[in-house]
Amino acid sequence: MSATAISPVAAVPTVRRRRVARLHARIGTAGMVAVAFLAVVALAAILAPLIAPNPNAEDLLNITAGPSLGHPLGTDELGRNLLSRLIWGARTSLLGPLIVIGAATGVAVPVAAVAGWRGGAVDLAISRLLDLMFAFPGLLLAILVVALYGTGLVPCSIALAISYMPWIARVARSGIVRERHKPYIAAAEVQGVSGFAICVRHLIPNISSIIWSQVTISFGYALVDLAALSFLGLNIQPPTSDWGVMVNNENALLDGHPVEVLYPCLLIVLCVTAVTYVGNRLASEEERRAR
Amino acid sequence: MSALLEVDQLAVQLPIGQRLRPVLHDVSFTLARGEVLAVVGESGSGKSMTARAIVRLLPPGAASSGRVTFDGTDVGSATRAQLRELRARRVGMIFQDPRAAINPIHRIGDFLTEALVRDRRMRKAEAHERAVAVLGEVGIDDPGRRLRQHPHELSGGMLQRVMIASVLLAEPDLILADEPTTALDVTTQAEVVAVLGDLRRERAMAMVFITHDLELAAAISDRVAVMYAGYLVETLPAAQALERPIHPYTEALLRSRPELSRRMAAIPQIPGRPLAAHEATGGCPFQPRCSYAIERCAAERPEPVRLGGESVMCHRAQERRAAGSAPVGEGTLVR
Repeated sequence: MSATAISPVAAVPTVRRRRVARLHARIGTAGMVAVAFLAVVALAAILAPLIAPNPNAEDLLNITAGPSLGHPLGTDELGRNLLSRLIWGARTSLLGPLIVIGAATGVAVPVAAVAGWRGGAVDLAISRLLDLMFAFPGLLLAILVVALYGTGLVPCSIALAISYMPWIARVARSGIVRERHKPYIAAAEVQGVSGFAICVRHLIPNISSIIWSQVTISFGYALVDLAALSFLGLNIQPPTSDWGVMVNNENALLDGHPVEVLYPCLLIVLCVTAVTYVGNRLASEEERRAR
Repeated sequence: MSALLEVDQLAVQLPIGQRLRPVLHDVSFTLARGEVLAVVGESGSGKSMTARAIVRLLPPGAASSGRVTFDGTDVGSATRAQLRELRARRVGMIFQDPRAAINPIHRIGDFLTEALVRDRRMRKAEAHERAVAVLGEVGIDDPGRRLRQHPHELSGGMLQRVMIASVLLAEPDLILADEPTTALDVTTQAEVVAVLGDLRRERAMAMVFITHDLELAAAISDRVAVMYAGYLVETLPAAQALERPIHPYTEALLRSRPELSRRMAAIPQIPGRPLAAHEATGGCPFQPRCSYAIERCAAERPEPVRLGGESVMCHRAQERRAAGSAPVGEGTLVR
């Protein structure tokens, strides 16, 4: 077979390989390992109904059991499969931060764009408002919201989204202010491109890498905050499996079976470390390029 | 016929440090349809600021006074929509450094067709066709391929042609060219100037061409405006610019050119250093460096006087014109 005959087929994976190589160049081998780990956890969470049995099924003959073929990580004090609970728990534990960061970014970027683009009094007003929001602790806001609207993932996520919004907005605004006065923006302005189109098509895409690094780092924080809220009994409620709920299990300690608390702790730490590492690498790469 | 562009007593102040400082003082000139005005001056003399003020593209916090009238519309009081219309269809701007003035993340094709597709609601295919045609006109080979490339894949001269093409696509009445060749190497400069000059002439577009090269200015324009420290010190027909300038600053600029015909021990310089616009005192801004200065020059700022086709801001303009200012090239060095 001639080389030219292969090339169209080979073209598709080449593009993907190049994209992987570019990511590798930015976050390094350790970063790629972190990404791979997160991908495995995310995939397990998505495929939970296919790969993990009912996390609430009780095997009362095998309570606080050690690892076995049927229960690879053992069982808890009600005989529930720990691995299955961890996998199902990944769904809520990862979905929560996703909602928090998605909503926060969705609000923060347009707000930052308006502030950075209009400048002057508008910028001043928005920036001071953000300062005001900084002053209010996110967990406290979440507790307030739960007191008003009841426990659950949605009120907790919205409360945290509000408190995460200014962090992302501040970073995005500084990026936009820096980019705003570059000649290509002036060139677009004198071409008569509307302010909205300049923001959407020129400004925001050019600061996407700083937004991405901030989003990644914030994701880790949100994961911890939501787990803490679950631990406090404000977020996900038992018996639904969630890493934060699993950590809040004093029975495990009384039963002398602490691994069922250690597993979710370990997963939280690993996920947060991985996501923060990738975020920091993206941020320092961005700094290096800005210089 | 009324003028296409009238600039009357334009003054601009910029926030430098904590307070507003003037960068442009009472600049007035007019431009007829199809006319080319070259604006010459040292760095910081207010050339770019003048061009930017015409389309109200001033830095944040800037204050301006005076009137800019474009084809009967007062630019200063134009609404946002009018201003956009003016920028999109009537006035095109070419920037000094094309690499900085074209968004690096979009393809050349997107850059060229953005305004047509989004603002003029032209079909993509039609806009693409127009872009290909105009790229051909500015002398870019294989325009179809270039449209798919990103800015980093093109040379500086090539990108400046793309910039010119983007302005031509909008078919404006006026082109503001802000040192379009300064960032390019010498051979490319000549080509870009030629392309710009030819295409402007074919389409009868007026142009304000900013440069610090007096000879280039005289070659490309109908009239030359000389700026110093934020003041427009002299406006004169291009033909006279290199022969019989009246203002001592223009004369001194001419003398400071290296000559190609004979070896020179040193290029004559204008003594002193250029004044920043906000440093100007009550007198003539050029007085401290002027070899023709009289007492009056330090005390009183001259008003521009009209002398035939010229406008000169100098107390001694009349007598210098009558004397037929010393032919440049002989005479004494200014020092």
